[in-house]
Amino acid sequence: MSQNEIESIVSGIKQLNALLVMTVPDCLLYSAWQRDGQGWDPEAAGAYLGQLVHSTEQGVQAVNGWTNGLAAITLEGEHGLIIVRQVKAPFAVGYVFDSGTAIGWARLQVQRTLAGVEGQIEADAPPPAITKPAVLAPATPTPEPSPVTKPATPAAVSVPATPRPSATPAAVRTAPTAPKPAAPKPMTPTATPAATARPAASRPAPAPRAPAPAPKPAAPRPAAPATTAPAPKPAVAAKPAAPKPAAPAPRPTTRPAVPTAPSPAASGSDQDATPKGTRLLKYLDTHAPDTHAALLRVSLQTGLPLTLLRMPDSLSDDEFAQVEESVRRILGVDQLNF
Amino acid sequence: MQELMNENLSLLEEHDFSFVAGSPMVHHCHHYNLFFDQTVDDAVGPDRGIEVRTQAAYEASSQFLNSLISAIPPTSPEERLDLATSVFSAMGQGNLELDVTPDGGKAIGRNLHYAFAWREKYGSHIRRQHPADAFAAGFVAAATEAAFGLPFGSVECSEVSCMATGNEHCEFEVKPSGQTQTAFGVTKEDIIGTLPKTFKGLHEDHINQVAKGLREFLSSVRGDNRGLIEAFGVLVTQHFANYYNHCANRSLDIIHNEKPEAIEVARELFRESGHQCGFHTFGGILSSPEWEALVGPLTGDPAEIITGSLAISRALGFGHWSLESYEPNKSLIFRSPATYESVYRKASYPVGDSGCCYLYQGAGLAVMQLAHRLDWNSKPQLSNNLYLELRQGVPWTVNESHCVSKGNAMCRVVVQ
Repeated sequence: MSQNEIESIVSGIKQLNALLVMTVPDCLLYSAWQRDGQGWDPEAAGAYLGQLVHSTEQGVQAVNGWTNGLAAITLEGEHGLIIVRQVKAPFAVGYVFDSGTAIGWARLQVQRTLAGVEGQIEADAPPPAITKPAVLAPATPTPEPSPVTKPATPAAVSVPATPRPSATPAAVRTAPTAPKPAAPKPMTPTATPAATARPAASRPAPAPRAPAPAPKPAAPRPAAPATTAPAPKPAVAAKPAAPKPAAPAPRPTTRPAVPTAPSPAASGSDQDATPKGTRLLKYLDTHAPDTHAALLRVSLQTGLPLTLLRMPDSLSDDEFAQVEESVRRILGVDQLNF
Repeated sequence: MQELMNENLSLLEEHDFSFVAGSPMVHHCHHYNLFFDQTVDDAVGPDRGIEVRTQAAYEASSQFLNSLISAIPPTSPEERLDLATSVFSAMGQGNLELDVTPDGGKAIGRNLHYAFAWREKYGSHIRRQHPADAFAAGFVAAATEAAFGLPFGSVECSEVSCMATGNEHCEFEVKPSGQTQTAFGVTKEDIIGTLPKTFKGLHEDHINQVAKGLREFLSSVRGDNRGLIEAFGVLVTQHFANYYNHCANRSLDIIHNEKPEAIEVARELFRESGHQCGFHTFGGILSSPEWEALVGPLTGDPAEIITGSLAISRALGFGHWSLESYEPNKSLIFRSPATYESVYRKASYPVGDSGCCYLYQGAGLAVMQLAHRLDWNSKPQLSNNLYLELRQGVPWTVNESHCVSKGNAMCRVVVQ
């Protein structure tokens, strides 16, 4: 979803200063549009707002899980009005309005445009790395999100104001809505049964990801379902390891258009146990553009061979630092939260 | 301006190479351009990558502009600057405003192809920390020298502000330079001197006929009021083949000298640029209304996709790509008397020991993918997401078994 696409949806709302699309619980900015003249950093704001959504989820779960609805948060302050709506996992959308914008009018604008934004997100899902199609890896199905235990209940919840220290204290209200399950969406190319020759574990199994900004949620997360160990990643465009079929046919491409959020259980202490080399390359795999070429790019930038990069936990400290620098360069960031 | 370009257009028809004012010209989409430039930067580092790309742009642009200016009646420096910016826009490279004298000056770029396309494709996902428009920087330096009749290397230009790094527009600084430079580039005459005899492949008449129609259509395509060409679902540029060849070969030279263990990875990424070109540009043209008007609706037959892609490659100036053989789902073999990559290499380097046609290789693999892994009857959207899906688990590999740059009589790509 490009800035231009967002702009085409919301630029007519004069009081709107920015629109941010974040992933949760990664708290990473997925896409952003900002009106000229705004002096703040959308990436940092996206991280904080993503954390706010994540904290809200954790908070309501801590209160006996009385709602599993999608978070809807309104922040009112002296300098503006922010409305955050959680949409199809793993996304949340933040609308940043000018000060003095009437809250009802702002909500109306959100209501009018959110479906369009969500449609664009669906049409332009991020590089798929969080999940892989079940048809390719029947032995390691993607864990399903926790089932809804209680019906959604409208409520007003007070949570701490925005985590940015310098921010104006704000009132936060949540209005849970009905949950939207993320359904796998078939891809355009049709698959043929003969295409299952691709090794099921040719890509690493989905690894847990940690929320980007601190602090970590205080409430413990539910225990993890069975996790799978990461498998070595093959070279891009390399021949499949399995014997080549006599007549290769298209591989099934039934990956969900929008990656599902990682299981809540797949973070926290489990995350910390994952070796940092694996975590770093998983982070790259998740966030790099043209993800299929990302490891090749690291190899070219660093001069480290692909065989070594496929065993990231065997990197020396110096090699790890080179890879980390390369990942920063590919993502265009100064700091990595992985 | 397009008329002036067309007046100076010439073809080596039997080899499917196009020239404007003697410079070999090709068309490439933004997917290829961005990935290609990115690979140069990955290979030699961002700062040096900008140097390599700016120098390549300078040399290719100098050769072209001086030749174009000499082909028209005498003009004033201001008229030459106008000519340069008009040509730049007509090529789909964006809009330039030049405020320069023989002592330097500045330039403003609006909607420059590289910055605009980078922002469009990647801007909402990642940040860019280095300017994107080395091509424009080299072009501005060349235009300044050509306009005022300065010796090569009199001025240098760098991009000091870029839309791709978050600025409203792009800005360039032009300064005097004491560096001796050249306007090196392989010309039509150089290429004629290297070319082997041409030949025909399977379905030759059909491919040739479609290529002619498409070439005619492309000659009418020009930049819009933003200086951009939006067509076939991509941003298209008319571009100097010498720019790509300078960049690829020089960055590979650096890699070869400084970290030779990475050279295969660099080649793989240049090949990937070609794969992006094949998927997005060939696929975009095949699924366009223009194609339907020119050739007829697609039936989805793989042979139709393959022959169509070969016609497209010829119309884009890539060379006389021909079909040697094709076995459904198993193998696809292209051969060409030369490609725009190999003629440069042959004219500029000693005989090598490996093929140098990375676009040809990558695009060959992409054609196999387009022919077999897309359901054309469902009118697929050739999105980046679909590209990423198809790029995973490709069941074929590609290699260049023959290349004129290594002494063979043809360039031959085998996908199997």
